[in-house]
Amino acid sequence: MAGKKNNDSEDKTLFVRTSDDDIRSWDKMFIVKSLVAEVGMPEPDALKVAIDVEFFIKHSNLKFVSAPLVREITNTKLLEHGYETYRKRYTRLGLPLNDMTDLFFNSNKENSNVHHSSEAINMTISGIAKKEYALLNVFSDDVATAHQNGTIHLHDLDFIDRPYCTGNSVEYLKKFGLVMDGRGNLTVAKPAKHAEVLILHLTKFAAALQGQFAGAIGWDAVNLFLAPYLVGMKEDKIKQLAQMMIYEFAQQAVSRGGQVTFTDTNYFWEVPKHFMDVPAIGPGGKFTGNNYSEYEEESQAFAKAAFEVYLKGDAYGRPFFFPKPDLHITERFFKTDNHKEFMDLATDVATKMGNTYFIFDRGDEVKISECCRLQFKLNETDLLDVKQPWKMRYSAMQNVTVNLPRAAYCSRGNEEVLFEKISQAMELAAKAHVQKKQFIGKILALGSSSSLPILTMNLDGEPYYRFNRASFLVGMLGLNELVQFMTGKQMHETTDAYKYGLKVIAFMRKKTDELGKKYGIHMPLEQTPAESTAYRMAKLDMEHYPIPTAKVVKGQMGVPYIYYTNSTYFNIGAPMSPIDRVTKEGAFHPMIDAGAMTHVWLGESQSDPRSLTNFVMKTFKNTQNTQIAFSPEITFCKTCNNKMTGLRDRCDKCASVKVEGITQSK
Amino acid sequence: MSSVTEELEISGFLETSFVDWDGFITSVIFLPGCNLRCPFCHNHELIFSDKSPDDMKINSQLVLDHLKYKTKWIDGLTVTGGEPTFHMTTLVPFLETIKQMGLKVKLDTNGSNPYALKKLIDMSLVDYFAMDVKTRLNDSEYHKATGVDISVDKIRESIRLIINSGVNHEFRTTVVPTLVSVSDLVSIAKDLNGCRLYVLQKFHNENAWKEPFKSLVSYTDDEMKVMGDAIPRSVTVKLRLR
Repeated sequence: MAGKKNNDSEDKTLFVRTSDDDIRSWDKMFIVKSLVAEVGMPEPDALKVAIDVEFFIKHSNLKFVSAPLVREITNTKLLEHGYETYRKRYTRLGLPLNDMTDLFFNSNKENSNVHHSSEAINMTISGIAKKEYALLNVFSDDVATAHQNGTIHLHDLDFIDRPYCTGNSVEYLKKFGLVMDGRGNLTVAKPAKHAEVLILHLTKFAAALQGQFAGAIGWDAVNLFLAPYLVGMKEDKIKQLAQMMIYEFAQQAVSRGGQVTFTDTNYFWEVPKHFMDVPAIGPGGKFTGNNYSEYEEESQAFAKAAFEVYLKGDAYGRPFFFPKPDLHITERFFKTDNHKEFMDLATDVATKMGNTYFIFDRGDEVKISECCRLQFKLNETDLLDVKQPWKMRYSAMQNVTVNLPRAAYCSRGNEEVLFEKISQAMELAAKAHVQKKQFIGKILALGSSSSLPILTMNLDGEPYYRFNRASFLVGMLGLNELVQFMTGKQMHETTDAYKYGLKVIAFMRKKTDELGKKYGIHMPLEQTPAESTAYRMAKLDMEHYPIPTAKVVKGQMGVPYIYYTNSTYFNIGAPMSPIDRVTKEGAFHPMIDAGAMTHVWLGESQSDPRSLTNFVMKTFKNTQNTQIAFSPEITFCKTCNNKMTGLRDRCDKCASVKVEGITQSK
Repeated sequence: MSSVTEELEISGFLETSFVDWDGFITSVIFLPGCNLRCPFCHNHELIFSDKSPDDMKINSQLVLDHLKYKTKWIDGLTVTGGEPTFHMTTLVPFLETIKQMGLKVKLDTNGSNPYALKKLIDMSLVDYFAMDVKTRLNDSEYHKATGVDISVDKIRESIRLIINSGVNHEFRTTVVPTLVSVSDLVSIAKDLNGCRLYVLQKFHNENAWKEPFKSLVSYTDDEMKVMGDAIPRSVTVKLRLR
């Protein structure tokens, strides 16, 4: 029954459908009470507004009055009375009816990791409300405005109530077992005694963590930490376990929002120096009495098995997109037996499937990788954790990207002004970080009753989420277009342009140090994984700064096809050899502490894995590049499941045009 | 380091290749001109040396200067074409310079110039030969595949020279439907007895020179595998599908 009103004077016939599924008779005092309670308005002012709302409703001959409608009208009246701040705080979050209908009947086309489902719709709806909440109530007006006008981009606002991403340790599960909900209210498992169970604990916990972090869930040295469970196992059994782990991760599209858990698994061929003398934990969570240096054989067997699984692909021979395999290369790699053969396997995966990320840990550097690029370089305090590896839980609280071309346009070509504009944007990023930190801090302070119970779980003397150790990332977008605007040349075109790019990043690096100190947070630079941001910022700049934007923006003219070059990348279409690309892009990497990578497109021809091994090893030795990945081009036939190299329009086996081309952008 | 006195004509330069020489990173130079007219040729822009426009010509000294800065990366130079052995006067001193720089040399050839190959072998200027065998060694079949009259005796001679040279090598056949059958491949393999590697390359019509090859449908990967399996086991076979 709709709330109805037959006669202006008959109060009793006016009913309101309330938000808690009730139908109540009209009473303006509900408005007064809610204005006082929700926005702290003095009661006489609230009553003034409520009287006007009542007057409006009673003179509108409405057949249907719902609580949202009353709120909409109240908001209008608040504005009429000049109460803009109250109006802002009294607003309702959500989405228009028509948008919801669209969600049901048009599939989600925005995120390739999301498959259209009822769960995905839930995630979209919650995302909309949380994003609006973030911009209204978490961030200050200047920060929210800077995001909305495209000066900066605050990533993952739709998950504002969670930290950004995390690096984790299998050792935690081995030592403490599995507490899925962080509270122990659900079934709790003791430490695994068998490898299969440990792998299930790992994949289930990753899915649970995905519900408490916005982005990637990384796992350090999986092959090494699984190794004590593999002692005495035959090769085929280890292969079966590797296959089980990869499929369990890859098919977990039932967790948050119907998504696959965004997982990174880190591998080492060698036992890295920092883990060699660490006591190993084995079945049942007990120390085995040996150090990890004694598990090299089992660790290598698992790594080899896993990469063989990646090479084979799924039932149709298609690549596994998750979990991503990150292969670390430390100085010890080159001294470890059979490293070249293993690298050939990893490059074979790279050339046929594209999966492998090669991560270079030179000197005494220790890193954990999480998502597309993000790496945690461990500092001295972190390295103390290594002795108790279950403590190795790291996180980035938030990621904010600076729109570099915008800074250039606003400087009108004046370098001094440019650096001032970049500083201002970075200052806003730092403020955004502090505000998010406060917000998450407030949630975590609720302890086990908070909405992030895994993060507050305390099994080893401190919460799972080590709040004070979190990093706050600052990314950059469109360095190439900034340089092009300021110097007239793109970075690949002249040495001067390239050096200009290096100067800008050196400045940003210095600035992050300054701001980090000022605000008391660790604020490293990161290359933003910013495909959608690259489009969003280019689109906004085309609207607001059309003349300079048109000069440097990439892609086809017309708003849906334009973008800025990612982070510190060179123009992806530039005629650069892979050698120049890894060398020149690599020169930026040491300044970008939280992760940078170079993408080498392999194109149509299938490269020889051993030639790629040769290239990867030389990249380690000859450059400062910290991470590379290769993108082959592969086409799959959806009709007969034939797999072809190169991007094709039709299947060369059954001539079907239902083909899917895969070339990864990372 | 000596510079090349007479200029080697170069029509194309690719700094980094991971596909031309297994295990190595090579640079590639493309030399113009070819004595064959294979209708399915995918480098047909290079067939007629007199037709290569000036802007396609690359100064060989520039190539050498460039390679000098990349010796930490580049293991060797792939010389391809066209048919490189028709540039012997300028190619020999160029390769001598390349060898002095410590780079290895891979040479692609159609095998029609055994005299040149012998010279390159005698002078130890090549570390890897990749020789095309277009189809079975029979004059009429070869005429059909190459578009010219060519004596297969020369091809045979080149095959033997390369196999007996002690230099690492591969022979390769682009498996063009309508030109190369399974029995042709088996016959070729017999003539390659003692070779180190025989590569069956999948034909791709994308850049083929003439009709009907421009629209000819390739063998599928599975068909290529069947053909590879048909080759006697005495010959080591590799499929190159892309």
